Amino acid sequence: MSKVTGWLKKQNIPGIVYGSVLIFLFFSIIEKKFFTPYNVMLIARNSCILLTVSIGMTMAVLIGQVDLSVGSVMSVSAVMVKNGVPLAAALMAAFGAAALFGLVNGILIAVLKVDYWITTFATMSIGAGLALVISDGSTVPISSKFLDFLGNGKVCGVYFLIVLTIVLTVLILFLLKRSKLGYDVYSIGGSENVARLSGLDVNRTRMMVYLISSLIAALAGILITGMTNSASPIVGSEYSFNALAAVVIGGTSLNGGKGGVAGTVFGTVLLRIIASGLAMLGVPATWQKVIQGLIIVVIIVADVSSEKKKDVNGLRRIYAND
Amino acid sequence: MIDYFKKNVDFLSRITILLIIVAGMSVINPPAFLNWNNLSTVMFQQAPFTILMSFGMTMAIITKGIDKSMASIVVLASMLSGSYFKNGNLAMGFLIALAVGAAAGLLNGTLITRVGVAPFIATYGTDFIALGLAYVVCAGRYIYDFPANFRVITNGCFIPSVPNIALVTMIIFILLWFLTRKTIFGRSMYLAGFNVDATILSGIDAKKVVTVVYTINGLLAALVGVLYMARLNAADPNISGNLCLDSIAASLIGGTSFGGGKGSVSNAVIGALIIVFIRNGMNIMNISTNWQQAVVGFVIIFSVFYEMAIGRLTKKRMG
Amino acid sequence: MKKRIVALGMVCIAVLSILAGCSNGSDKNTSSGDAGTAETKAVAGKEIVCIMKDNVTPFHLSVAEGCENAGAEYGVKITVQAPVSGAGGSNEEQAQLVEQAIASQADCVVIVPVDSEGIVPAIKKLNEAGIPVVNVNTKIAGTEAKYESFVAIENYQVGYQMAKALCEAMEGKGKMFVIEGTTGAQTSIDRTKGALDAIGEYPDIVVAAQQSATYNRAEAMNVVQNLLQQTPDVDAIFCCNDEMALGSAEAVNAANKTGEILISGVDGNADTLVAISEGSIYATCNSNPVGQGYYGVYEAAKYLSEGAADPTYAIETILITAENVSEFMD
Repeated sequence: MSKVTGWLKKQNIPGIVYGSVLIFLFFSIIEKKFFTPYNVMLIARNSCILLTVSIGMTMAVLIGQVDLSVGSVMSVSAVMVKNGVPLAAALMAAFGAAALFGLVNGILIAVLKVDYWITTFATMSIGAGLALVISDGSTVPISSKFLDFLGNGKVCGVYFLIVLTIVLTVLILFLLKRSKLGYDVYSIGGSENVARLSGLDVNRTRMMVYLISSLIAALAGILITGMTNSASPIVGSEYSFNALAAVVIGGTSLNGGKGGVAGTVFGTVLLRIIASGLAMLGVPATWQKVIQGLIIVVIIVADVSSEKKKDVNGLRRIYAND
Repeated sequence: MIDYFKKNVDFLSRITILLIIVAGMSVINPPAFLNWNNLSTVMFQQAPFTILMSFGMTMAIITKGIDKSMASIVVLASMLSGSYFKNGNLAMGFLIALAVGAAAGLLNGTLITRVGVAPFIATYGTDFIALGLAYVVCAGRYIYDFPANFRVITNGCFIPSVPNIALVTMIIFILLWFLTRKTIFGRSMYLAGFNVDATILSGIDAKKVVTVVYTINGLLAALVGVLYMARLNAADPNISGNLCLDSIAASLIGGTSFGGGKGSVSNAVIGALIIVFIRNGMNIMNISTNWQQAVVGFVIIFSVFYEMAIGRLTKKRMG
Repeated sequence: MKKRIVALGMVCIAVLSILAGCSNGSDKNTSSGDAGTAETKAVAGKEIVCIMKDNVTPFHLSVAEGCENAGAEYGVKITVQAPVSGAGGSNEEQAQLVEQAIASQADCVVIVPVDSEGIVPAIKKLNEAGIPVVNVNTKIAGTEAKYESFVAIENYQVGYQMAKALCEAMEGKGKMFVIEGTTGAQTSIDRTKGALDAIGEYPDIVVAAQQSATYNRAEAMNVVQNLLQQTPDVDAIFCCNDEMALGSAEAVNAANKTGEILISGVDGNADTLVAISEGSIYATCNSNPVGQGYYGVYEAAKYLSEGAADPTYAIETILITAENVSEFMD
C-alpha cells in the first residue's frame, strides 16, 4: 500500500485527478445507472466541446494570459455555417473569421502591448455582438451530413467527436511537451523577461498562441453546430468563463508556466461528471446549481490546500538536501 | 495646470470619450437625446447601479483579482431580504441583505487570501452557490409590490429633483474615493495589487486588505440588490441582467488594469456612464439590440488606443 | 424460513401496490374523467422525465408543477430536469439532459425545448432509443424528429390576440412599442410576428420602436425608459411576456404616466394580475402553464397505456383585463 502511495506521490498527480475519481466513484456507488457504458460515453462526449475550447485556453493561460474571446469566436464560427453555402466555403469563412479574431488579439496584445484582459474582453463583446448581427439573432437549421457526422456520428460504436477530441488533445499535448513552441510557451509563462533575454521571440509565440486558441474555438463552434444540426448565435456565450474555470480547476496557474493540458482534461470532465451525476440522482433542478458550486469549491479548496502542503514539503526537501 | 493634466491623463481622456459619445448621440437625434429629462434619467436613475457595481469590480481588479460573484450576490441578497421589505420591516431587510453580502464577500476573501484559491475561481464558485441559493429561495415565487415607504429609498427625492439613488451613489463614491485615495488602507490596496510580496515584506497585512476589499464588494452588491428591488418593485433571480459584464466593461473602459495596482473609482464612474449612454442612445435610435454589445467592445478598444495616444502626446509635449 | 418471510413480504408489497394502484385509479376517475382505470394500471410505476426550459422563471416552474400534479394522479414517477444556466435555459445543457434521460432508461420524455432547431438531434436520439416524446409549449422544428403529441398555446395567436386587444383599446390609432423577448427565442419570434400582423390591420397605428429586452424585467424597464425619451407620446406597449410588461409598467410609472399608456404582457403571472387590478397594466393572457405541464404528462400517460396520443392538444388562452381579472386571482 505504502509502495502505491509512494509511487503516486512521485508521479506528482494534481489533486484534481483524485477529486474527479472520487466524485466518479461516489456517483457510481449510489446510482447504479451511472456507471454504465452508455453513460460513461455520454459524459465523455458531453465533455468534448468544453474540453476543445479549454485546450486553446490552456495555452493562453500557460503564457500567463487569458483568452476570453473564445466563446464569442465559437458563436461567430457557428453562424458562418449556413445552408445553401457550400460547406467548404462555410468552413473557410468560419476558420477565417476565427483567424482574424486571433490575429487581432495577438497584434493588440503582443505588438501594441494592450492589456490581455482588456483586449480579449473587448473582442469577446465584439464577437458576441457580431454573431447576433450576422445571424439576425435567429437559430437556423443546418442539414449537412458531414457536420452531423462530426457531431453525432459513430466509429466502431464510439462517437467520432470523442475520437477527434482525443486526437486534438494528444496533438496539443505533444506540441506543448515536445516542440519548440511548447518549450517557448512554458518559458514565457515561467518568466517573460528570462525568456526574452535568452533570445526567444516572445511576440511571435504570443501571436501563435492566440491564433491557435481562436482556431480551436472555431473548431468547437463547428462541432457544436454538427451536434445540434443548427447554427445558433449564442452558442458560445457561456464558454469563455467556463473554459477558463475548467483550465484553472485543472491546476494550470493563472500566473503562467505551470500546469498543462492533462489537468484541463480532468477539469472539464469533473464539471460534466458533477452535472451528469446530479441529474441522474434526480436532484431537484432548483438545487443543482448550488450543489455544483459547493462541490467545485470543496474540490478546489482541497486541491489548493494539498498543493500548499506539497510546496512546504518540497521546500523541506531542498533544505534537507543542503 | 499642466501638472494637473499630466497627472490625470487617464481621467480626462475618459471624460472626453464620454463627451464624444454624448455629442455624437446629440447630433444624430437631438430632441430625444439632448434634453435634461433624458440625461437625468440616464445619469440619476439607470447609471447608479452600474456605477456601484463597477466600484466593487474596479477595487477587485486593482488588487489583481476579479469578482465574478457580485451580480449573483445582488440576486441572493434581494431574494433573501425581499420579504422583509415587503412587510415593511426595513431595518431587518437591510440587516439581512447586508449580512448576506458581507458573508459572501468574506467567503470570497477567505478563499482567496487564506486558502490561496485564484480570485477568478473563488468568485466563480461563489457565483454558482449564490445564484443557486437564490433559485432555491425563490422556487418560482417572485416577490413583488413593495410598500411605498420602501420604494422611496431609490425613487424618492431627499434633495429636490435628485433621486435618492443618485444621492446614495454620490455618498458611496465620496466614501470610496476617500478610502482608496487618502487612507493607508487605500495605499495598501494599490500596493497589494502592484506587488503583493513587497507589500507583505513592508509589514502590511495584505491578506487582510484584500479580504476587506471583497467584503466591501459583497456589501456593495447587497446594497445594489436592495436599491434595485426598490426601483423594479420586484425581486427575482434574473434581476441582475447585464450587471456582471457591464461592470467589468465599465472598469476596463475606466482604464483599470488587470495587471493590478492601476485604476480608480472616479474612472469607473465615467466608464459606467459611457456604457449606459451607449445603451440609451442606441435604444433611442431604435438600433437593433444585437449591435449594443459589439459597440461596447469597440468602445473598449477605442478607449485603450485613445489613452495611449494621449499618453504619448503628453509625454512628448511635456517631457 | 427466511426465504418464506421474504416471499410473504413480497406478496404483501405486491398486494399493497395493486391496491394503491386501484385507489389511485378511482381517485383519478372522480377528478378528471378523461382517462380510464385501465390506463392508470398500465402506467403506474413508469418513469417520465420532464425537461423544462429553465429552473428559474415562474412560468416553467408552473409547467413543472403541472407535470408533477398529473404524475401524482396517474401514479407515475416524475423526474423534473432543467438547464441550470438561468432564465431562458441553454440548448446544449438541455440536449445533455435528454441524453441523461436515455441513460437512466426513462419510459417517456416530456420536453419544453429551449430551441426549436437545436433540440432536433437530441430528439432523434430519443426516437432511436425508442423512448416516446411529448412536446410541450415550444414546437420541435422540422419533420425528422418524431414526437407523439404537441401540447401548447399558439404563440402566434397569442401575440395576435394581445396586440389586437391593445389596438382596439387605442381605438385604431396611435403609436406603439413592441418589446421582444430574447433575440432568437422561438416564442418571441412567433409572438412578435402575431403582434405585427395584428397591428398591420390598423393603418393608423405605427410601431414607433421595436427592441429586445431579453424577457427580463430590469432590461425592459431601462429600454422602455429610453424609448419614452424618443416617443414620449406613445399610446401602448406590447410585451412578449409578463416580466417585461411589469418592467415597462415601472418605467411608465417613473415617467408619471401610469394609466395613460396601455401595456400588455403574456403569461398571466400572479404579480401581473395585481398590476392589472391596480390599472398599471392593461391586459395579459392566461397561458395556463400548469395546464401545459399537466396535459403534457396526460398525453404521455395516454401514449404509454394506449399506444397513441392526441397529435396536438391546444391549451386555451384567455384574455385577462381589469374586467375579468378577479376570476384569476386567488
